[in-house]
Order: sequence, then structure tokens, then C-alpha cells
Amino acid sequence: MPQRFQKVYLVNSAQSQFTRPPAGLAFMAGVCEHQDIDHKILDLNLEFLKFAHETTWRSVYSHAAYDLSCLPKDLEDKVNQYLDLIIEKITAYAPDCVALHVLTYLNQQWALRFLQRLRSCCDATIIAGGPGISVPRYLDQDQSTSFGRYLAVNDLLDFYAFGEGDIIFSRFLQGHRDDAGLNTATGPETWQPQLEDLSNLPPPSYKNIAISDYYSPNQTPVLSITGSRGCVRRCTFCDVGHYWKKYRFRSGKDLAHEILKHWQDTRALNYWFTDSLINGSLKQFHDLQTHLIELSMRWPELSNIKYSGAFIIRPKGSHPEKMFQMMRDTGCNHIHVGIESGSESVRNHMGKKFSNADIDYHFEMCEKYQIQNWMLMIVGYPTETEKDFQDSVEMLSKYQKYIINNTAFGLQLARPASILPNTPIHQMMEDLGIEHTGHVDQSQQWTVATNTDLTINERYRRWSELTRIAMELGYNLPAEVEAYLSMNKKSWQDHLTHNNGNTKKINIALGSKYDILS
Amino acid sequence: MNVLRFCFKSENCNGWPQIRFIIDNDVHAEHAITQSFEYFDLSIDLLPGNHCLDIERYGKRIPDNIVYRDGQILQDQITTLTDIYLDNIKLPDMIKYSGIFKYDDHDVPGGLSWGPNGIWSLQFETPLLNWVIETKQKQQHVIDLLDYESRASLIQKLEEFEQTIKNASTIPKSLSSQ
Repeated sequence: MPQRFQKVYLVNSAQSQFTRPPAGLAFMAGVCEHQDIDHKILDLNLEFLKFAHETTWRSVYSHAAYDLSCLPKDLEDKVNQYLDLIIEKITAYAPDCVALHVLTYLNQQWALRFLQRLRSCCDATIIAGGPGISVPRYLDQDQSTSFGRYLAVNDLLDFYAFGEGDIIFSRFLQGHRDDAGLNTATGPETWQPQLEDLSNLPPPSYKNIAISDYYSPNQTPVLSITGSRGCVRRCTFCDVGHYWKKYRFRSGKDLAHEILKHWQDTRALNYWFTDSLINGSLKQFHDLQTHLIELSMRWPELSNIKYSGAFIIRPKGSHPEKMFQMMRDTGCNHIHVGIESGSESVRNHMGKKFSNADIDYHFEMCEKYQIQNWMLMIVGYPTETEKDFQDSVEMLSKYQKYIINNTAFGLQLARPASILPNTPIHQMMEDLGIEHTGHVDQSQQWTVATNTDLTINERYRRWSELTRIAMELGYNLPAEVEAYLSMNKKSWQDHLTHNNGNTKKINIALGSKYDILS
Repeated sequence: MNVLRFCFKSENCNGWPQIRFIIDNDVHAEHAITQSFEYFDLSIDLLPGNHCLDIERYGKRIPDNIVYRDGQILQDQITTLTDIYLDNIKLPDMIKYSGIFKYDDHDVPGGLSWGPNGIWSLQFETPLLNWVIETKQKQQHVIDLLDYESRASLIQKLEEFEQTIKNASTIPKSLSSQ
């Protein structure tokens, strides 16, 4: 058996929000700490923000997911200078292992650039994990190969992990190389079987993470915490059910004590739950709150804890007023709510399982108990008609009054609806008559025979219109919205050129007045 | 139409304070306060544009409505505007503090306790909801949110994008075969 590692560099890929430390880094640090392994921590995302400053960070961000390989020269130089510094920093430490976490497909381009630079000047064993490793490489015609396999085949890493990273990484550091879920460039890919019990894992550690460097909105550090894996819903557009077949959750007591540990380590009082749904299990949610109240009796400062996470709306019978009151009393002051559409028919197809009356009730309760909502929306879902779209527009007007006191705090609408691999809607493609156009951006570029009015043009138009209306009504939008517009413009232009010939011909057809394609 | 709710905390001294609501110099309502805590609902249905709301506190007489003992005020007829609600949603405090209370020759910006007779004035715009939200967001600086100043130009870019898509939808089919 190979020897256990002595010096490990833990790295998180860019680019993503910079308001809190990545959970993946804290998780890996917790494992190293548990095994008493010397380690260093580096968040490529935060370090790039510090190196390039916010304006450049945002400019690169608009390319990060889509075309980091063809940056304008000034940005290209900046990224290269930055990566040189990072590689120098890592090699100076002379690690025997570099562990890279890739959260989503949006972080793949940075991971690729980083590994291309690192591999040639560092002898360390390289392992990567995270959801962004197990999905196919974004914009790759070959959607059957995982990003991890792509990296391994191109000799950019030695190992990549699928499944429960807690188990794989922990044993990997001890020298185990034959575990299920630990993959290499050859052989069939395997997955680490799902854990039934999440309660005995090494807790994440933030001790060696510079948490005050993150730009939290209220100037106080926000730490991530994970209470469950998987999801109780099977929303058609989401692939969580494919990767985590079964919903598992930790006890409320266990979670409350992890918060206590982090508070004792760092004094942080703000927590973000990474769970698909913070209220997936109502029992666990209630138990967490009960234990937080108990802990705050012994440690009064804990009564100032604030926590937030993604939340599912349910009918009134499942979410009595008492629940909202408990949320407020224990510090749950902000939630992300997947409302997705103002149309009940679209939400029913998605499998969201709540009515418009349920949303009304939800907002009434949140207004009463001062809970802020960040609304997650989708436009251009395959069954969405013009009437459904107008329902979404009307919904934004209806809830505009809640912006006044932040009950409706803001709105997220990054791109038109995607058809992602391994989602229920992907399985329904034949029934719905959905076909990819053959363009490389498959998740975006599709037609739907059962809803012919919903052309690709129409989906981008609806995205733009709803985003604009949300801004006109005064909803807060993420600072990245300008980057979303760039990404969507680029994607739409690619669709246009793919289907109509070259840019020049299109510009002639459109007239110079509309010459945005040059 | 919107409903503005004004909440008052008042003190009786040989009678309760009296107030009247005036919008753009038109008296919309008069209200005689009768208890320590009460509210008054004012329906607002105005054309879009700039407006002025005056709340006049009137009818206080000296010495009837103020009692002194040893040079100190023992009892005073006074009212304080505590909160404003718009369609049942409490407005941020910055709205009520943006009013000015004027009495005699005094201007008291942000003055919400109205002892002497005088007029509290609030300049506002309709649609009210948009004005409140805009007023609030001008003051807001949150690192991960789009800032207020960038909104107008982004809205314009989105409009242009929509227009371009509409025009592109008219590209002749024959183009693809050229």
C-alpha cells in the first residue's frame, strides 16, 4: 500500500460567489485535520478576486463558464500572471498531494487551466472531486465522458472521485487506492456507494481558512454547513436525484453541535446550509431549531446566530405559522426559494407541488416573521406558453410590495431553461419532442415540437424581458447579472450563426442598426 | 390605488391632538385622535408624478393643552408619527425620517413628534411602490447585488437585446441555405 501523504495542498476551483468560503475546502481541511496531516488551503476564486480586483474578476467571470479559452488579450494576460503566482506558491510548499475541488460545471474551465499549468511543474499526486468532476465536460460534444475522465486521460491528474468524497478522500490520504469511486484514466468508472448515516463523518474545519477575507454582505463571515444529501423532490430540471438517489439527513442535534464547534473555532455567527433543501425533512428542521434554542441557553451568544439555505414551499397544512415563528426565533432570516414560475401548470410539470395560494401564504408568513426570500426563477421551460410566461410577469408585480421590507429580497434568473443530462426532463425529451439543434451548447440549444412557439429566440427574449421587468419593478438582482447577459448574448449569437450561416450574412440581413454580432 | 397607514402615539391633555391630511394642497381627510395608539388609513389614488403630503397638526391651544408646574411641562398634548405602512407593509424608517416638520419659524428635518401646531411635509412620487423601492435602493450598497447606478444602463442593454432578437426572428429562411 502506498504511504500516506505528509503535505497536502487543498484547492478550490474558480469562479463562483465570493461571499463565503467554499464548503469543499472546509470539508477537505476537516479530513486532513482529523488525520493530523500538514496542509495548506487555497481558494482560486478568492485569490483571483484579491489579485485582479472586482472589475476584472467580473469581466473574466462573464467568460468563465463558457469560453475561458478565448479571453481578450488583457484578461488572458491577467489570468496567466495570476496562475503563475499560484503555481509558484503551491510548488514552494512542495506538497506530495494536491486535492482540487470542482463544485459545478461552471468551475470546469478554471480547473482545466489550473491543472494544465500545475501538472508540468509539480510532482505531487493530483486528485480531484466534487460534482463538477462527475458531470460531462461543459460544451463538449462527447457528453458520455465525465470531466474527471477527460482530465485523467489528458494526464492532468492522477485520480478523481465519484460519490461520497468523505469516505474516498479520507482513505485516499491514508494510502488506499482501490476504493470504489476512486477513478483513474483507465478502467470502468466506479462510484462510492451512498452512505446511509451521515452522522459519523469528520466535521468540516474552518480553522485555517481566512474567513474574514470573504465579502459577506453584512461584513460578518458566513460558513457553510451540510445537513443532508439528496433531495425529497424530483424536480424535472434538476440532476440531484441522479447523483444522490436517496435522501439522507443528519440529526438536528448533530447539526446544532457542528454550529457550536464552528462558533468555538471561529466565532462565526452566520451559516449557510448547502443542502438541496433546508426544510427537506421537517422533523430535522424542527429538531435543529429546538437544539439551537437549547444551546443558546448555555452559550447566550448563540442566540445571535443567523442561518439560511434553500427552502421548498409547501401547503399551509405542512407549514403551520408556528414553523415560521420558530424560523425567526432561531435566526433563519433568509431563504432561497425555488418558485421557478408564476404558472401553476408549469410548476406542476416541474414537480414542485405547491400552488399559487401556497406562495401567497408563504409570503404572508415571511412578511410577518421578517424572513427574506431570494426567489429562484426559470423561464423558457419546455411546456411554458406565452400565457404561462405572462403569469410569471404578473407574479413579480403581485409580490413587488414585498420588496419594501426585503421579504422579497431579490431574484435569480441566470439563463433560459436548460435541459441538463441526467435530469427527469432529459428523460422526457422524446415524449415532449425536444431535440438538440446540434450546437455544442446542448443544454441551451433545443427545440420542442409540442410547444412550437417556444423557439430558441423566444426563450432568450423571455429571459431578457423577465430580467428587465424584475429590475424595473425594483427586485434586487445578483451583481453577476451583467455577466449573465454577456453569456446569454454569446450563446444566442452562436445559435444564430449555427443556424443561419456566418455573422456577416446575418448582419446584412439585420441591417447595420442591429449590428451587435460583429 | 394604495392605502397608506399612519400610526400615531399620542398624549391627551384636556383633549386629544387633531390632524388633517393634505395632498398637493387638497385636504383629503381630517382625523381627531381619541386614544394613545391608533392609526389612520389614507387612500391614495394619484396620477403618476411628484406630490406633496402634508399632515397638519392643529387646534392646540396654550395654555389649555399644556400644563406646567415649576417651569416644567407636566402634561402636553402631543402626537408622534411612529410608523407608516403601504398596503399593509411597513415602510423603511428612512421614508418617515425624510419628512420635515415645520412650525412657527422652525424646520425640523426628520421631526416626528409634533408638540406645537405645525405641518409635517413629505415629498413623494407616484407610483408610490416604485418610489419607495427606489428611495430604499439608492441607499443600499450590498457587495453581491447589482448596484442602483448600474440598473438604468443594464435595462437599456436588455431592451436592445430583446429588440435584436425580434429582428433576428425575421431573418429569411433562405439565408441558411446560402
